[in-house]
This record gives sequence, C-alpha cells and structure tokens, in this order.
Amino acid sequence: MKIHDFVFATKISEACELLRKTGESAYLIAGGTSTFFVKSRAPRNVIDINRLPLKGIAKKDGVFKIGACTTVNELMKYKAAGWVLNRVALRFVNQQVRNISTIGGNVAKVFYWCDFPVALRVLEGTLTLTGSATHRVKISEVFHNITAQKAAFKNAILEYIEIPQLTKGMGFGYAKETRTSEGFSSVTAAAFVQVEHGLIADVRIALGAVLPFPLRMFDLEASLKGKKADRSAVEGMNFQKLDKYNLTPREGMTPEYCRHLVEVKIADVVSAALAEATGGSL
Amino acid sequence: MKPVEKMKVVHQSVKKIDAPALSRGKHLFTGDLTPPHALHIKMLWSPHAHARIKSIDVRAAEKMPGVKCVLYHGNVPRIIHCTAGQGYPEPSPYDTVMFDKKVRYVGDRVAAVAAETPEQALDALDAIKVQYEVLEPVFDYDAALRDGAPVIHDEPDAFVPIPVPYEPKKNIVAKVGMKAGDFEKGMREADFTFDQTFETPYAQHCPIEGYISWAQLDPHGRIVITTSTQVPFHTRRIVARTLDVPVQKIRVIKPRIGGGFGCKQEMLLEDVVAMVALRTRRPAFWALTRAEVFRSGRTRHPMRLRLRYGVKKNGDISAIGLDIINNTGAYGGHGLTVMSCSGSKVLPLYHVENIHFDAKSIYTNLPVGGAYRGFGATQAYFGVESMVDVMAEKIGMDPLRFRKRNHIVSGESHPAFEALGEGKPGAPMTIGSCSLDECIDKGAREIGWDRRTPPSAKTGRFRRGIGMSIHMQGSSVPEIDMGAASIKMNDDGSFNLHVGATDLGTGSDTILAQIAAEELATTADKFIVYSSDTDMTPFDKGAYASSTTYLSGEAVRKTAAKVKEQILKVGAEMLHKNIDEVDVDDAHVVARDGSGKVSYQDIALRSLYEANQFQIAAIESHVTHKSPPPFTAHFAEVEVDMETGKVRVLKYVAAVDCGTAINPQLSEGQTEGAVLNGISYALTEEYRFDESGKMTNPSFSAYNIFSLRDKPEIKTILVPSYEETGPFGAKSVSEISINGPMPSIANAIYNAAGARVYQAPFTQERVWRAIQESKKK
Amino acid sequence: MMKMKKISFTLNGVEKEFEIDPNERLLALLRRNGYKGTKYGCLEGACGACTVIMDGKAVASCLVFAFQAQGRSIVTIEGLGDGPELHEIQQALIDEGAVQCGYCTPGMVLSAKAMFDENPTPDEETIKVQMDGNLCRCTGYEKIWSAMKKVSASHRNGGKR
Repeated sequence: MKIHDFVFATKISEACELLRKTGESAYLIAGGTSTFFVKSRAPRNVIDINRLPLKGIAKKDGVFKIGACTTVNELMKYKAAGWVLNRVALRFVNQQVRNISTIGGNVAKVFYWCDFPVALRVLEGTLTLTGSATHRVKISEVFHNITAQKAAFKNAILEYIEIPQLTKGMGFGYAKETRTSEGFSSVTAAAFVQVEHGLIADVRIALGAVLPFPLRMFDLEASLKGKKADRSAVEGMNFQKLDKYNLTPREGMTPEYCRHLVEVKIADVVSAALAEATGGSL
Repeated sequence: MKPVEKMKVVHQSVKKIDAPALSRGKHLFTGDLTPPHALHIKMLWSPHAHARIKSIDVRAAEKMPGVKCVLYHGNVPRIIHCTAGQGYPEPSPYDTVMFDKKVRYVGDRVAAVAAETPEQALDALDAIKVQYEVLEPVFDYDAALRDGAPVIHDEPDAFVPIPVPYEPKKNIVAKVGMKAGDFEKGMREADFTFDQTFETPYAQHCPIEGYISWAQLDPHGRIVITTSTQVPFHTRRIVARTLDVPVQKIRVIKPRIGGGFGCKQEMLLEDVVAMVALRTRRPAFWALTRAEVFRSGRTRHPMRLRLRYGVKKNGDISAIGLDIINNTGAYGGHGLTVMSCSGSKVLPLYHVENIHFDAKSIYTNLPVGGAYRGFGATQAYFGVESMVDVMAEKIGMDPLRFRKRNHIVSGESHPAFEALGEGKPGAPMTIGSCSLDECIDKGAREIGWDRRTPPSAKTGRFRRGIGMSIHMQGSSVPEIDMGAASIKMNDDGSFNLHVGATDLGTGSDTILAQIAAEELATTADKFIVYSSDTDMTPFDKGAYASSTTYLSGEAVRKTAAKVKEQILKVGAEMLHKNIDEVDVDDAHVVARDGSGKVSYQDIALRSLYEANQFQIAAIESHVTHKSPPPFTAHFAEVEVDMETGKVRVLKYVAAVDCGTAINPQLSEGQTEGAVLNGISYALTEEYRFDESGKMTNPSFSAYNIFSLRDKPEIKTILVPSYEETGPFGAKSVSEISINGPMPSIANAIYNAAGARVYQAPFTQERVWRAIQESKKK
Repeated sequence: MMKMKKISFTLNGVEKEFEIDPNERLLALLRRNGYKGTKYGCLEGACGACTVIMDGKAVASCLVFAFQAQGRSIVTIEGLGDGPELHEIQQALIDEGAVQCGYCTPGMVLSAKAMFDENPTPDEETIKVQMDGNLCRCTGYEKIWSAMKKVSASHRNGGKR
C-alpha cells in the first residue's frame, strides 16, 4: 500500500469527520498490518485511530467489551473466567504481529477472515460502529456477503466488540489448521455449545478460510440440537449438509481432501466444546 | 596423528569469533555497508514461462525521474556463461547471457532499471513496453522429454565447456551413469524384487538475508563488488567473463553472510550491479525482495527417482537400480554435478555388487535448480532409505539390523567413487574413518528403538511411530578444488590469518583459527581472521561441497606448520639451540631440555626489528585426493493424526561421525540446522505453481519454514572417528544431516500408520491418502 | 518526490526528531539513520529480522509505518549498549552457540528482551509462543531454545547461571 499522507485522530468524532471528509482515498489504521494485504499502489490518506481510547477489555454483567484497538497479544494474555478469545489469539500469526495487530483490524480489514470473525460468529459477538450515528450490529449481519461487510465498515469506525462470558454448561472449540505455526489457514472452525441436563440445548458452528465469509453451519447445528451431549452426537453429525457450500481448497489441497478436513475439524471443535461444557473429555 | 585428547584448541567449543559483533547488530552485512548515495536496481521479470521478446521499448523508462540506467538485451554484450559457482572449466552448460531475447521461466530477467530511489526504479519498470511471443511452456519431466517437445535452449551459442553429453535440442542438460556387476542377474537372483518411484519437490534455501549485492568503482576505475556470496573467486571469474573485463579489474568482497545453504554458490546479481556501476560511475545496489528470492533465486532440484532392488531372504542386497530424472528448470548450472552426487554419495553406503545407475537432468520452464545443502544426495536418500525399510520388512528383519548388516565399513571401497566425478571420473577411495555402527547404536538408544512396535499394534486416532535412516556425504571435491591460506606474524605474537575460504555463517573463520592455533601451539584468539576478499586473501574455491573444514582447514594447517618452522628457527637462535632441540608450547618456543623458553612476542619483535630480520609468514595450498564421507544415523519419532494425515515430529536424534569435531558446539549447530531444514523439507516446504508456471507461495508464511514454536526436540550425538587425511582427523559436517529427515520421517510414518508416502513433502493430504490406500490392502 | 514530514519519538532512551516519508516503514527509517542492526528480512512480518521493541513490545519494524512511531518509545539493538559487557541475552546466545550467520540474532535478542522484561522467568510454553516470530534457518533453534531456558533459569536462581 502506498501512503500519501497520515493524520492522527484524537477523538472518535474527529476520526469520523476525517473519514467522511477524506472520501475514497481514506484508509483507517489501528495496528496497520492489514496494509500488507493491500496490493494496489494507489495513494491513500491514512487516518491513524490507534491513539483513540479504544483499547482494553472490560467485563461487565457477563459481557466482555473489547476495544477495537486492543492488540491480539492483549487478547492472548487476558485472563478471566469464561474468556475464550485467548485461544484464537494464540494461533494468530506470530508474536511480532500479535503485538501490533488489533482485533478491530482483523474483523474490519483482513481478508480472508480466518481468525477472530470465525470465533465471533459462534460467540454471537456484536460490533459497535460509529459513523453518522452509533449503532450496534450482530457480527452475523456483517459477515454473510461482501456487500454487507463493505457497507458495515464504510464511513464507520469500529469502536468495540462485545461477546458474552461463557458460564457453566457452555463450551467453546476452535481450530485453525496451518502447515506451520505462522502459516496461513487452510480451515478455521469454531463451535459454541450449551448443555443443559446432559442435552445439547444450543450449538453454533462457524467455518472460515474455505469460504468467502465465516459462515454459520445452521443445518449442522439443527441436527445437533437436543441430542445427548456426548460422542454419539458428534459421530452422528450429517455432513451432507455441507454439500451446498462451495468450499475453496487452500494450501494446495484438493477439493476432496478440503471437504474431508472441514468435516474432521468441525467434529473436533464440536467435541472440544462439548468436552468443555460437560467438564469432561469425550 | 595427534590424539584428540591431547589437543588444546581443536575439539574445543571455542566461541564463534564474530558472534559478539553479530549479536550487537554491527554493520557487517552487505546491506549494512552500502553507500548512502547508491543507485537502486529493480528488475523487470518475465511474466511468461516461455516466450520470445518481440520488441522492447525502454525509452520512456530512461526518461523517468531519477532513472540513471536501463539494461536489456539490446544494450549489453551477449556473452554466454554459466552462473553456477564451480571450478573452471565448469561441468555445467554455458546457457545464460546477461539479458536474452528469450525468457525461459516466470521470473527470468527482462530488463533492469537503476534509479535514485527504489520507488523511481519500480515506476520506471512500469514504463518499459515489452511485446512477447508466447511459446508453449514445458513444465514436467515427461513433457520435456517427449519427441517434438518445445526446445527451451534453442540459442546457437549454448555449449558445455567440457566433453560431456549436452543435448539442448532434446532439453537434456546432462547424463551420468555407471554400472557394476550385472544388474539384471542380481535382480534374477533375488528372492524379492521391488520397483518403486519417488518424487521430491522444488524447495528453497530461505536464508534470512536474501540475495544482495552492490558495486562501485574505486578511484582507479576498478570494479569493487561487495556481495553475499559463497564463491567470491568464482564470482570474480564469471563476472569478468560476462562483462568482458579482465579479472584484474574486479575485486569481490564477501562480508558476513546471512546464510546461504548453497543458494549463494551462484553469480546471480553481481553482473548487473557491476554493469550499472560501470555504466553510471555510481555505486549500484540490488537486493531481491523475498518473493523475488523465491521465484528468481536458486532452488533444490526436484527429482523423480525410480528405485529397483533385489534382496535375498538372508538380507543380502543383490541388485540396486537407480534411475533419476532431475529437473534443473530453465538453466542448467549444477545439473550434472547434483545427479552425480545422487549416485556417488549414496550408492556406496550399502554392499551391493550389481548396480545400475542412470540419471539425466532436463530443462523445464520452471525456476532454476542450484546447489543446496545435500546436493542431490538428499533427494536420493529419500528413495534409498525408504526402500531399505521396505526390503527389511519384506524379509522380516529389523530395519536397524538390516542396515548394520549391509553398510560400508572402514577399509572398503566402492566403484562409484571412481566412476562418478564432476564431469570426469571421480577419485578412487578406500573408506578410512567410519563409526557408523556406533552412530546407529547410540542413536537407537537415545530414541528408544527397543520400544518400537509394528504398525499393526497401534490403535486410536493419534498414532506414534519411530523410523530411522543412515547416510554418508563427502568432504570436498577431490582432484578438482583447491583452497589456500596465508599467515603472518605480528609484533605481539598475534597472527593475521587470511583465507579465501568463505564463512557463510557456519563459523569457518573460527574453526580455521582453531586449526592454525592448534598447529602453532597458541590460542584461537591470537588470530585476526580475514576471509574471502579477492584482492587480499589467497584463492579458495568457496563454501560448497562440504569442503571448508577438510580442504581449506588442511590448507590452514599446512600454512601454520610452515610458519611454525620459521618460529622454531628464530626461537632456536634466541635460545642458542639447534632447531631439533626446540619445540612450541603455549605460545613459546621451548628448549626440549627445559633450559629455557622464549615467547612468541619476543620472537616476533626480534624477527621484525632486531636481528636477521624477516617477516614470519607463509602461504600454502591444498588439494585433496579423496572425499572422505562423514556418516550419520538419524531417528525420528512422529505422531500421525489418522483422521487428517497431519504429522508431528516429537523427537529427532542425529548421531554424527564427522571425524574430529574441530568445534563440537558448531558441529552440533550445523547438524541441528540441517535437521530442522530437512524436517520442514519433508513435511511442509514446497513450491506450488499456477497453470502459467508462476510460483504461487513466494513468502515465508506461505512457503512454511519452521519457527522455534514448530521445532521438535533435536538431539545431536557426536560420535568421534579420526580421518587420517583431514586436519586433526576432521571430516565434513555441514551437509550430511539434511539427508536424514525425509526418509526417517517417511519410515516413522509407516511405523505409526502402516502407510507409506512416496511423494514429498508429506502434507497432511498426502499422508491421509496413503492411509486410505493402506486401508484398501 | 517524497513529501517529508516531521515526527519525533524516543529512540533508545533519547528523544529524537526525524524527517519521514509518509510511505516509509520504521525499518527503512531506522536503517536510513544508521540503525542498521535492524535487519531487512522479508518485509512481510514473517521473519523477525527487523524486530524492534515499541513501548515494551517486540514488533516487526517492516510492518510498522514510520509515522506510527510518533510519540512512542523504540528500542533497537544499538540500544542495548556497546560497552565491554554484552547484554545477558546476547551472552547466553553466544555461550550456547546460538549465533551462526547472526543475521537473525539482533531481532532474536530484542524479542527475548521484550519477553524477559515482561516476565523474567518464562516457562517453556511461553518461550515457544513468544519467540515464534523470529525465523532462523541456521541453527534449528535448538541452541536458541537452550539459551532462552538458561536465561529464564538464571533469573529464577537470582542471576546465577
């Protein structure tokens, strides 16, 4: 990416104003690592929002409120009951990148979405965006097609992300398949389950990297709901439901193997989530 | 022969002499030394795998802001040469010119721009108008060899400077082969025969410092090239030819190098920086981006290996057939020698009387193969050591016992040593030192070989397995390569040690100082080592072919011995003794009868200032007559995910016979570096191409080399032997250990999962497919 | 031509002002000003040769734009001093034989420094995770790994190795 000029925003309102004024050439930077993925050499005017008060994680009433400019490393190190994004952060590129990349940047800028957006979809995260007004949207409203994604972040600044704190009976599973620790994802899968009275009361499964967007696997979820929360639920999953997705094989994989790997990884994350929810191992 | 226990400096882990400055980030590398006003060079690379340049218009680019020079085929001399940094005449075809009218792979040179800033140079590249006539590309072995295949090198001036087969019209770069005994008979006499094909991928060295060079004219108009090279003297010779200037006009300086592993055994950037400096009278700097290093740098040759074996029930191997097709990509440097090493460094490892070896190197429109640690042996060992396990299983013998029963030992010879040289016959050789049996025993103990169970005994999703392999390499290219050193004594009893030998990060400056210090009975820190500057140091072939310790080291030892004679003479004078009545000890000349001693400092002062003055100094050269193999036994324990095929190495053991380890810590470092490189070569590294022949994963993240987080536990065991012909008993250590991981891991995967992989890298998909295949049986 | 702008930040403890091109990376700015211990490796944040410490965190200076350093505190390898004594991390790497070509070493030292400054006694898992952004192709990491473990152990033992 080529930068023509930069300006540091000091207030959110000022950043919004700058964004509006600058127009098409505007580019918001928090950590700035997303610029690596911008191949065009057209000059951009950067608005640095990294000095806005959008850092840190606050826990209140069972909800984690994460400032958009919180670095991945801060997410990795944060410790609290029911906090799971550290597991996603732990698999994010490498230390030097975790130290500058922000969750906001990862959600708003970095195609293809194979880290936080996948996890946020199953955690039913919400995004608080400020443009002409401030509004809160569900991440599911943003990540279902390119138009929605682009529209959400156009002329808007992501202020914070909220996710629920996991409590007893809930479990989370996350897998990012790579060749090496800092390699690119070939499949990312995440699952959330809630178990009540030994049955799967709620389940959410999301898949990334092989799809243009991190999508929820609603059909698969439906087939699991109400089942006994043990191995049999995972073994009984009907993966024919995946047929309707046009999976993109990555890292040199064939479509056949990509599909197989997706199935294994979904089963893995559901197993992990169930194990956590039931306090045992499957 | 001096027993290792009596050595004071050799066989000690002396700290690497350049380590403190390196750890402080001092200005030691090529890019740290560039003058601030240097011009920046950027290259326009071919977007086509195979095309003729119909027209090229550089006029607009030449007028762009900041542009000082544009080079393309229309304004540079057409002088055919070979970029491989080898001895002269090279056993490789001369098939390259600075800029050609034809491009032969995606990433081939089209035109270079030198401008005041890199951005200006890039902008100017965009302004170069090129029209291509796109030709049919050739991307694989079969396509290259079929009748009527497109001819990649149809230029009339390509030739090979030594009398070896070269058939560019058939896309054949070179052929080597040998026969011993009667292969067909050996196969007939076997109880079991095998015929199996293996494939290895394109791979890259990935030094953290990529290719980088700069040049400027000195006040007298000579071209001074500072460059990250493993072969400064060969580079000087090749640049002189390519630019048509005398060798005398060129000085090549090698500062510290940020890793090479073979990829810098090549003249790749130096002709262009020199030409720009010559044309503009300005310093000219060129560094490849990481993507350019991948696409346009040198690679490990991909090979297709067919292995045929005959084995008897008692464990005798009655026949081996090794047929290789080696893809050199678009240019043929190292094409012959790599294959030759696939034979000469591999076939002798086992007793087999009936041998068939046939190898050919072919051109394709893909990236260019070059020298890479292991040099052909690595690829061949994948096949050979996989098949050894297959044979052992067939006859129901423990693969460790099968290896011990059949491997070469001290005092034995092998026809391949004589048959396979570098474009001419090799040197016959009898194995001197060999402690391979001990390597096998010690490695087996460390990995816990006796707890190894067959695949049928394993259950569950994650299965563990243990595999092994054994290997040899060589030490130097006998009767061809030469290394030289000079030593001079200073006032205070310190010495300047000047070597052509090229420290590319291995620590050779340090171990050469240790060798000199041992011979001169002083300490390594008394040596001011200066290496690889064609104006200042004696010649050396450079850093390749596992030569530096064995060959350059012996040159240093011989030089030190000569200096020692001079020191003894002066010391004897001072002590009023005959020369045979004195000896050196602890930086003194001492009278053997204990009547007196005189320090090196006093000897130096006398010889420089006081009486019978002369400069205590010497220069010596060395050529080797054999290439004694180091030996290793490697063991890997892996865990295979039966569901996904993902393989994790849990522990790796390398037991190494490198003769005397001049510096054990550095020998371990060489081993561990080679092992980890080999592990990722086996599991994750590969070039992937799109349909146009363009590499699609040219970045560290996408090419997948290992980080500390990925590394398994690696245990190195140095198993000493004493090589009579090496300096203080030393053989080589740098290359051999990259040969082990691919076969060891393949064998461990089989032991874990009951599935055998024949194509590397062992990606999770390939392993998964092998597991599916094995379930059908 | 470049449109130069002025920024200032603390470099190795000293407040400094620099003229920068809005487009240039911190790596380029540092090297242009003589801080060449910060090495150029991949320009994609994958190898760590260009690691510097920014506000206490190891970052890839090839990914950070120079302007992003405005007002920050940056430590480069030169900031570890040039006296007779090496920093304990440098010394440990040398003692263990972890410096081969040495091109990755300054970045490795700074990553380790950031790690030890934050937690003087990291466990093995922490070392593996926090040192995962520094590629080395020479050593196989075995000796780097043992150097890190030794520094951690020495801190646990009150500075004795």
